[in-house]
Amino acid sequence: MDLIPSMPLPPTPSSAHAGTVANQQELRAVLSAFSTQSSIPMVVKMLPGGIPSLEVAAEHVYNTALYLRDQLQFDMLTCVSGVDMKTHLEVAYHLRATTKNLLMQLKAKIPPKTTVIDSLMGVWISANWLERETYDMFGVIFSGHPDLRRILLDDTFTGFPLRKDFQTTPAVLHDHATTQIDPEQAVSGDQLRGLGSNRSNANVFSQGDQERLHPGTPTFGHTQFHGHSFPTQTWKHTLQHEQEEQQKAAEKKKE
Amino acid sequence: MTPNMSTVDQSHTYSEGAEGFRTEEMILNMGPQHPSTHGVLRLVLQLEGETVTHCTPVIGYLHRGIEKILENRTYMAGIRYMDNADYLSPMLNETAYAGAVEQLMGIEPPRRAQYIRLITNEMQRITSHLVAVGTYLLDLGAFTPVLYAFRDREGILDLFEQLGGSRFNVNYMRVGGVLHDLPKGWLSRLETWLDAFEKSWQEFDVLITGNEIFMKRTQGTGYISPEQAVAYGVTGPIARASGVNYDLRVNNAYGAYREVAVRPVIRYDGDAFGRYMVRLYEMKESIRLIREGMSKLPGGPICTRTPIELRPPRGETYFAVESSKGEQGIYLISDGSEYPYRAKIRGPSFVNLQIVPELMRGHKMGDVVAILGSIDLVLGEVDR
Amino acid sequence: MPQNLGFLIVHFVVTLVFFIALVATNAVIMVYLERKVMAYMQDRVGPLHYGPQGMLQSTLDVVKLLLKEDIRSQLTDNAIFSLAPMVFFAPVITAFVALPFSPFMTTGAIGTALILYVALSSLDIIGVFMAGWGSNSKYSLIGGLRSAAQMISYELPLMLSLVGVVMLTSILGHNGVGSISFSDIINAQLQTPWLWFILIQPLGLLIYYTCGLAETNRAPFDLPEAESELVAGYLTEYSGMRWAMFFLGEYGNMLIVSSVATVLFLGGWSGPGADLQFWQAHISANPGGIFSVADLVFNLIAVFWFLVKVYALQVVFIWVRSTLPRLRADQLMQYAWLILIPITLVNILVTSVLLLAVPQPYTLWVTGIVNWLMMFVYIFTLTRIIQASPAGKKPVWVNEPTNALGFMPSKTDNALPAGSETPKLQSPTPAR
Repeated sequence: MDLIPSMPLPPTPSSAHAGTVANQQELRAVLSAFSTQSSIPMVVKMLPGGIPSLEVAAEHVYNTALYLRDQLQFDMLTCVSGVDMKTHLEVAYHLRATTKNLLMQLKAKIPPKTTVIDSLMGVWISANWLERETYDMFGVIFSGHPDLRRILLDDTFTGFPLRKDFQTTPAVLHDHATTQIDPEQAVSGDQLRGLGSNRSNANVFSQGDQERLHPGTPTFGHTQFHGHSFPTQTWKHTLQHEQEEQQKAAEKKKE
Repeated sequence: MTPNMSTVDQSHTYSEGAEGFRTEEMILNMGPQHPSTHGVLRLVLQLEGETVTHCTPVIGYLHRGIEKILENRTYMAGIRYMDNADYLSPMLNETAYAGAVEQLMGIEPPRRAQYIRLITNEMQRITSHLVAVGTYLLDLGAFTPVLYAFRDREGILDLFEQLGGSRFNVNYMRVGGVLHDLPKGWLSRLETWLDAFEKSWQEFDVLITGNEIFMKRTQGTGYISPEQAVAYGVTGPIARASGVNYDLRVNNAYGAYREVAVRPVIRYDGDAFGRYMVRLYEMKESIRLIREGMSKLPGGPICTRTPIELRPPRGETYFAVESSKGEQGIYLISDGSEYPYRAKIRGPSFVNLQIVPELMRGHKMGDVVAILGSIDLVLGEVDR
Repeated sequence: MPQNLGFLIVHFVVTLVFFIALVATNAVIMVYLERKVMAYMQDRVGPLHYGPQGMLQSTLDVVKLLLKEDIRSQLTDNAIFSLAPMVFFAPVITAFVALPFSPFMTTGAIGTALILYVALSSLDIIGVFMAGWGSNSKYSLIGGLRSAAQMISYELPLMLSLVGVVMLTSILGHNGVGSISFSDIINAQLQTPWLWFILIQPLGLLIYYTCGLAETNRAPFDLPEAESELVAGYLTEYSGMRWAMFFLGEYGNMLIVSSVATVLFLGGWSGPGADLQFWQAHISANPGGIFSVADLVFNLIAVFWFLVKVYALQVVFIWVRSTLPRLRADQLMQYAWLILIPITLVNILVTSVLLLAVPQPYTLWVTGIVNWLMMFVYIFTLTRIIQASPAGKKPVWVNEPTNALGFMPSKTDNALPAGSETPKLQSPTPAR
């Protein structure tokens, strides 16, 4: 069936230490031993649910991954998740050893103010789209990735939406966009991110609450458009209008 | 989304035939609006006649930012958004999310709740597989099976409606248990449905499995070797059809699966036919599991007492369930507040879709839908 | 019947009106029938709202199609795009010339009806190809190409499967000379009562019908308009009345294929009550008149039986469509060239040898029995060849129910039963 040879798979794990690790507890012991022996600084933790976690710096992630694949037979990269820790970015890899029923987490800390980390596509081929998604959402640049593009978002999208400093309201006014509101009112997500009832303010300012008109919608004079810009009737005016009505109602009550 | 032609390898688009007859490769945009891309997937196909030389999936047309939404919802409120990720198996997604929060908080749901989860999860698996099998046959040109499949699926959706108030986006799981106890007479209605479905299952087996055209179309189509499956992170029925014995219900048993034994369905074909057979027999296995769960269903509370404002301790965890399409994982980070600091959804379809370009290479145009249907994509969960 | 100018004019008008009405209403009836029959096969109810039992549904659909805007994209090849539906539809109408619905309801005795029919049925493909090319759409182009390949390939077995019937007429009617006139073929089947050629040439009917499915682009050979692959194939860019003309043409094609099958294999208009002598003896006082009451009754019954057979065959089209999945393009061609054509050639060879070798009173018996045997062997071998699956039918269950209470399954627990094939998983992986 294969007329055209497909992409070569990465080498299968060699069985150097096959069968030595039986369960998650032993895996943790092995990882601890590895962290003390190796020259790379590492932190070994046990996460809730009995998942060993290995934290390394971003520059060592490739070699560590190679070790995990070849020596401990972690043959499947399940999940790649970016995390924005506000001071720096982290990438969490979840690995499975299908032959031995093991699950572990490899976490790579990217130094502050940088976004570059080695791509693991040479180790596990499934890193391809998972890393693209992480780049898409967090702007983590995986060096060595052959095809690092946006995957879920629009190619013209600006910003990385899952970062904590991302503004949920658009900071940039696109000429063609139909979901615009007044850019002056764009509010940083940080200000609105509160706990408990404070948070409900965000709903007032977020997109989608205001009635918007598609530029192509015929309005028959109800709303005026200025070229391609957004309608003048924004949420500010509706708020103003509501306030005026409330005042009028209050005045009526007084009378 | 602007068409990104840089993805398509155009280096050898033109070729000279033996007699100087210039042929040209054709680029065909299949989707995002197409009858058989199961939603809004777009495949950029490079065709040499009818043979596919290159295939580039373009996704993201259904991106709703569920992970971002989850960060802005309390743990309990976030469960509802998991319904929309894989909209063919909401119960399984909810179980994954609720289970992750429970793992983070160190809660163990009551046994009755765990068994109810098992029953509903297996019911959901049957519905998802029914849709997968039915629409697959629709892709292959047989019109009838999909209607039979949906007829049977209606029964389960009605039962879900009696259980959670909604047929589709059930919002039934809760952190520490489930929302309602089983209504009166629900189990007997389920029993009736199971008896009826066993007969319809036989119908499927007789009508579809032995069909010569179906076998001709699917056998040898889209072969995935076990090494390939593991390397690409493929899980679920697809991996099991390739001979990878990996089922989280067994290998990483959670909830009531620790007490109810699961027999994973393994096949060694690795082709579309094997995937179909694994799904078909997993339905049978699910019937058995539901029966066993019903017979073992204990009494007692259905939910632990949890505070209204759930504040899991600071920390992170990863929890995965065996969804109908593979490993449905949730990576949760809590900063001690009411809202998850980070909630990552590891969708099985998203990872399974990666292997599609490899499978399409060298196949005919007609096989594109045969392969795509056998992968059983749900774009809601690919795009999230 | 004696020739008379007035009678001829009346005959012409009646026949013309009948054929045109038949082509026009057939599509409407068939669409309704298709939706209703398929609905009952699929646990649905089908159209229900317009008219009693939804009978007006397809009529109103036609009205909708007539009123619809004729959309065409900017870059279509206008002349080809506009002409294609007509080129497709014209041969369908023309092919009715050859069909005898009853001794009265024909447009005349065409001596070469069979050849005419085959020639006209292969003209359709030009329209399809024009539609595929003129639409300037990739889906249409692939659909048109597939259609061309398919229709040309299936012409051959279709024609070859009819040769057996023509040879049979040489035995029955014309002292050793076969006939390709439809009327003569029906008359040959009427000589001995109930000697329909399906009894002698069942394999011919089976192959003819299979090829007819392919000729009319019906499931499981509906590749040119495969919905799940090519959206609508060569019809993708058409809308409104132009689309409806393709639609009418397709259903007209179905009618013609079924009619020809009826004529050649099911005895045409023959059936209980379709007996001119009987009615002349019982009803009419002057059997020698131009067109007596007996003639009228006989012709009505004949047309009735003909239509019953035709519609029964068309319902088989619907039945097949709701049962079978679609073949792939290359499998379709393989089926035509590697299976159908050799089988038809063998059929011709065996039939001709038997007709020559077996003495007269037993000829038909022997030929018929051999042909039935050949048909069953053909069906059996075909299913055996296709069903030979290397992997077996049932999935490999894990031997023991696995339990996570302290027991973890490993790969060795999945060992296959003794004696079975080594699974791919356990074969040593090559070093990379």
